[in-house]
Amino acid sequence: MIRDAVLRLDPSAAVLMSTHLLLVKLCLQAKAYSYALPVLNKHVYHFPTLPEWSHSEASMACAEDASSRSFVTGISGFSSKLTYQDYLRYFLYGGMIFMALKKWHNALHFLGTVVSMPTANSVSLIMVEAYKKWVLVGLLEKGKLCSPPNITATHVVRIYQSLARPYVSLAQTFERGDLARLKSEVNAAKDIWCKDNNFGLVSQVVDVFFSRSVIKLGRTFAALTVADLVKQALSSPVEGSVAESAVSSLVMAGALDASLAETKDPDGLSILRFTGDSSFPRLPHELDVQSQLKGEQQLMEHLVGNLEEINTALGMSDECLDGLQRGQAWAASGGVNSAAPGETGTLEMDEDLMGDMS
Amino acid sequence: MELPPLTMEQLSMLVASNSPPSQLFEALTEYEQEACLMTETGGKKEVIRGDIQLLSLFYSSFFFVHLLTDQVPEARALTKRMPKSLTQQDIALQNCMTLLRAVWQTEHGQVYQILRGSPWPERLQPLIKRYESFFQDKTLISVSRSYETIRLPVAAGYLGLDQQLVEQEDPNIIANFTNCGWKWDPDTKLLHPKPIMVRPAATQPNNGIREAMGMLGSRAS
Repeated sequence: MIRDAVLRLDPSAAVLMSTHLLLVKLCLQAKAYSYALPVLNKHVYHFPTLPEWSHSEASMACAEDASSRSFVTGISGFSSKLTYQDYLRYFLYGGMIFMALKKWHNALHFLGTVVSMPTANSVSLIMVEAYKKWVLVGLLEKGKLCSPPNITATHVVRIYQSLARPYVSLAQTFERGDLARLKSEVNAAKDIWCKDNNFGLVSQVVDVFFSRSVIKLGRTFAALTVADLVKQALSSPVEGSVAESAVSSLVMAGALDASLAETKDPDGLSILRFTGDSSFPRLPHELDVQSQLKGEQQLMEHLVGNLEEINTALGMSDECLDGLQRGQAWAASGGVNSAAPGETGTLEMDEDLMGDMS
Repeated sequence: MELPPLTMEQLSMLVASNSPPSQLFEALTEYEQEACLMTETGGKKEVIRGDIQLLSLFYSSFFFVHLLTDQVPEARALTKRMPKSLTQQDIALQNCMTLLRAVWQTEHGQVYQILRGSPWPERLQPLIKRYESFFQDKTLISVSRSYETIRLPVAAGYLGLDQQLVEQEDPNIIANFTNCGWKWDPDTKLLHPKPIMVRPAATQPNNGIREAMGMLGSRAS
């Protein structure tokens, strides 16, 4: 009902409201993860504008040409006041829902938003929690310790690394490809994982170790028998049929870009051929990529539309208009006369800073 | 969409209908709220107020519809939302849990065994048959894309075909594969799969995007 209310009020769900947070929190508590997806799958582009930032009269929700940003404002009553922590919580909870559904790529996107949230001095504990999960989800999705998004401040990254040391250490061991060491680290810090409610994720990290090792082997070998593959990936003996079943599951699930070739001997193990060098038709894979590209294209179109809207809003803001006015006044007094028409905006803003000093 | 109240007749009709899985999923999602209200939870105590058989059929049908729409993690989440007191005593729901484990671990043989050999309520049979067929098709597509060559017993095992007929190299069994364009080499006794292409459903831009693009167009002009 809450989800339907959110989507009925704002079908684009582009403005974050307090109801968004309520929805994801309830879905997590009720373990009804997929109920939140219609809202989580829509990108948030705006936060409700504060009354002092509203420059035009709020549009009616029924106005066809109005974007939700114009009627979901701080004073419209559609959303209660959101705090900084609320923003963080929405993206953290959203990430947790995607984790529960094993949509690691989306989870990483949501966690990345929390991890890279701008901060003044201190770092919120919610951000640290998100970073711990970010490390684990990064291992599950990409098989490596992912650096926080580029826009994250360096002092914040340092704080993360010191507060989430066991996670970073676990990820480094995973990257080194030492299964025995990985298992011992998991057991040694079990209390930490349980206390942070991350034990489930850590267990999955151990489970994906084999598939990640096999993917790495694909960078070195063109083809391997399953027996050799297991020897290389795990360095411990595994029964032939178990190995065969594990490898075929990986290939059939699409986790491995490879194909299997069985021999006529029923006791003979299959050969795994990494698809990069194979003549095996890749059309199905290419169709999937094509479909993904189409999805990305639609997303970009939507993003461009919203960026234009934000650009217009910023251009109409008091700060921008004041700046332009001051710049024009300064230019009229003979400060700048040589700039090309297209460059005036930037130059005027720079010179204006110096004007304030005089 | 306004649905009639959740009753045994309504649910049986829905389960037996030939509606696409996505429509079934939507309808049962709507009904979950009603099903939730049939269980009262106070502290650690849980009391089922409604018809137990109806609840059992609802949750088992919803479980199968999750599998039919290829939402395995969501199906797992559903098993956590089922009333505990019901799952402990209801055989159909216990079978659902066993099936989920087999699907999760990609134990193809076990999946067919549970679908064909476990006791399921009569009213659920249409969904079980649909899922078996769906699982076979999905597996066939995966095998065709993953194997360059495959032995007949292995391929037949993936599809849950009769192993006795496989040993006799029954032409009908081989035809299951050659009809899909695969080649059978009687000398090496190997099948050469031909990848089965499934064009991903075209994702139409939704109304919001169309409206947004329309607005952009009108602003530019």
